[in-house]
Amino acid sequence: MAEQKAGERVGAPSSVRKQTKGERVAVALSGGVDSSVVLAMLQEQGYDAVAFYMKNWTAAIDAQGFCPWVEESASARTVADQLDVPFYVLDFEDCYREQVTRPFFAAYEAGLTPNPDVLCNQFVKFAAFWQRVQQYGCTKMATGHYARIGRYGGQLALLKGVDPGKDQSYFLWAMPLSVLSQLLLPLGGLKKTEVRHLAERYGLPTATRPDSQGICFIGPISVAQFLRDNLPSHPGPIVNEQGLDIGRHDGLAFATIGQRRTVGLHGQTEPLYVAKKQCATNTLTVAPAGHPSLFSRRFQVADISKLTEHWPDTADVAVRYHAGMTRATLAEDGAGLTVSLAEPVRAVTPGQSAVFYDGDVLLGGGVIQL
Amino acid sequence: MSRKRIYLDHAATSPLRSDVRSAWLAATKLCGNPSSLHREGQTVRASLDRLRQQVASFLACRFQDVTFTSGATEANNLLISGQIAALPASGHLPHVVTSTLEHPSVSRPLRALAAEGNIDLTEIAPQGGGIVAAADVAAALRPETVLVTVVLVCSEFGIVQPLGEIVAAVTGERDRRSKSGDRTPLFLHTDAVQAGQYWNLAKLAVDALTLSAHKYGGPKGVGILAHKHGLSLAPQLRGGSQEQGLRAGTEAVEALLATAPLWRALSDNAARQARVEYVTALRDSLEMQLIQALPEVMIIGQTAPRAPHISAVAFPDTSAPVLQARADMLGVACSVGPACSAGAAGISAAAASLNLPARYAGGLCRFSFCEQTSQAELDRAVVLLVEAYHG
Repeated sequence: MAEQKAGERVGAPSSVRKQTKGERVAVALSGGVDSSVVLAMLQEQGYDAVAFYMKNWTAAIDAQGFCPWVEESASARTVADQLDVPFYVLDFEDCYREQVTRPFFAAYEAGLTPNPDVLCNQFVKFAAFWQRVQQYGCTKMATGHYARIGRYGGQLALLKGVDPGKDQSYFLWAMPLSVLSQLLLPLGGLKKTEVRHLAERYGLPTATRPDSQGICFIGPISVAQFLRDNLPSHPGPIVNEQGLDIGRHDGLAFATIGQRRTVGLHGQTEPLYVAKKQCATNTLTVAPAGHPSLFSRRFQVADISKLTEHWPDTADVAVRYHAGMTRATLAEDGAGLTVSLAEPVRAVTPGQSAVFYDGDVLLGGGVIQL
Repeated sequence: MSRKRIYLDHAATSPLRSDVRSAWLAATKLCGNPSSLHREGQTVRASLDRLRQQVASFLACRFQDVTFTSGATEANNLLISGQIAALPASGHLPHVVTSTLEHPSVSRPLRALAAEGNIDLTEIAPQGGGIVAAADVAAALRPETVLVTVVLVCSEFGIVQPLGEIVAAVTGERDRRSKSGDRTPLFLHTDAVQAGQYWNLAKLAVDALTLSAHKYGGPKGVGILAHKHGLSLAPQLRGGSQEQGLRAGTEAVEALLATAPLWRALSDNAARQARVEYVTALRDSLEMQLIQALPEVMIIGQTAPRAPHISAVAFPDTSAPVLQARADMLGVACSVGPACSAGAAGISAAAASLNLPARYAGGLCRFSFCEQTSQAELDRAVVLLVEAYHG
């Protein structure tokens, strides 16, 4: 019912109109296939496209001295050169370190599982970057996110991308609302396979480049390995749901809610899963599959960002990227927002984003609290 | 991109001269390795020898004083690291004097040697106006000083350093040593990369100097280190015995031979004088027009002796990378600091030494010209730069 209602309010994705032609648009070019296609599309549509590579992280990300930005920026430059588009590298290293990397480590050390992509979009890409490119005469910006711009209750709104496997609206809930009217998201109406075909049609050198994975400063290595390389171990007890000491962990930061744990003590054979991380006592609580402590019916959300003027009392909520939607009742109070789920959801993880939708419309989101 | 672009970055690199291109193509017909003993090798070796003699004549040095390198960076590294490595053992840490205006290919090897404990380094900041005072150099000299290296034309601002006076200071110290029987060597080197087209380098009484062909319409990949006999250098690339054992590796024959017309052209004193006058007038015209359109701009080193082809302009309340990009999008190529450090954030050591007022410190752009730059291009560039500045 609610979804049908939402559908009525959703306008068609904004299409490029004749009068926007020749307008200077900043394209955040990452060196991957998606943003390359954005650049080629906008150029084809008659925009005065200018490509910018955001230099967020230049330090090596592994012991072999691998620096992804070297190849990524070269790939971006090659694409821009082939399309004969001006290309500039912009340095956001300080901003990224302060707004993304530092909070990322701080959150892990506080027992949370942060979402650095959300922070990057909130503080770097749709804030510092947008501020900077306006100095270059850009009146619009475009990214390769799989999300759409449409209308909700008569106002501009962010919508899910049409490719359910690629929809990236989850990561955009905290972006400043003011950018929306200057933002172009040309990939939101496309499927990934169509984007690859377009890349081939445009003859882009990135057509066969693998999708970029992970986070700028972590790259293709696993977050778990990255944390082990960068945070000190801090051993503590593992307890079961009765509070019985059944083993040792080497640091709460290395454990993820819902993750399977092998516990070597007490002849435990039943698979156990992380249910809770208690920083005060440095204790990890585990429980067998299906145990109620692994599920949540209600949780608190803070740092709320609203991308629509109107929030309904009930919405669909996603508690992690690519998690399914769950119906929820939203109750705001002074401290934040209480989310009451229609059915229990497994592994609701503090620090991750709870993102709210009305149908395809991204209402906003917040950070799940301990 | 319909309108023709205006290239005002000749201090970074200058387009290939057509006679250089022809010489390159002619050189590609040769096949021998100059180290080979057969006729093919001999032919190429003879061509390189003729080129070396030509460069030696241009610089008024000896045939054997000329070493070909891959560029000015390698030449500077060879001179600095090579000299320090070749010093005979003594009880003292060798001391080197330089300026804060140097290209990174001078300052970084020196700082690395200092950090490794191989030299003691004095870096002299310029006095007001961007000029290193010869008196400051003289005062920095010590009994254990083995090398003084000061750039002839600072690439960021085009300000000319008083090499003549520095020569006198170094000569004075050498005389003092010889009188007291002190045999510690002391040499004076200058990075003359930005001076090649506008100076009669034959008259420069330094012990070593560095040039780079691509700044004058030659190909990229050719540097020259001229170094007086008696200045011992240890090779920094080891292998074969090319370049008198100073620089191993098969010579870049085509690129080197392509420079033959270049040194011939640069040796022509009358042509040089005409070039100096024409390019100086271009520079002055750009600056005058910019000041008329934007009265608040500051010309760096306006009262100092300057090279004809470089104009460093500080724009108030703007970011040079932004201004440069906006000019670029309008069709004007100019530079923020020297090309070798482009991409590096922040203000350069040389720019910092100017003590610019805060609202100018981030807005330093460099425009550089050559004798092919036309007055019409320059006039158009000013219009576009003003447009870029106003956004």
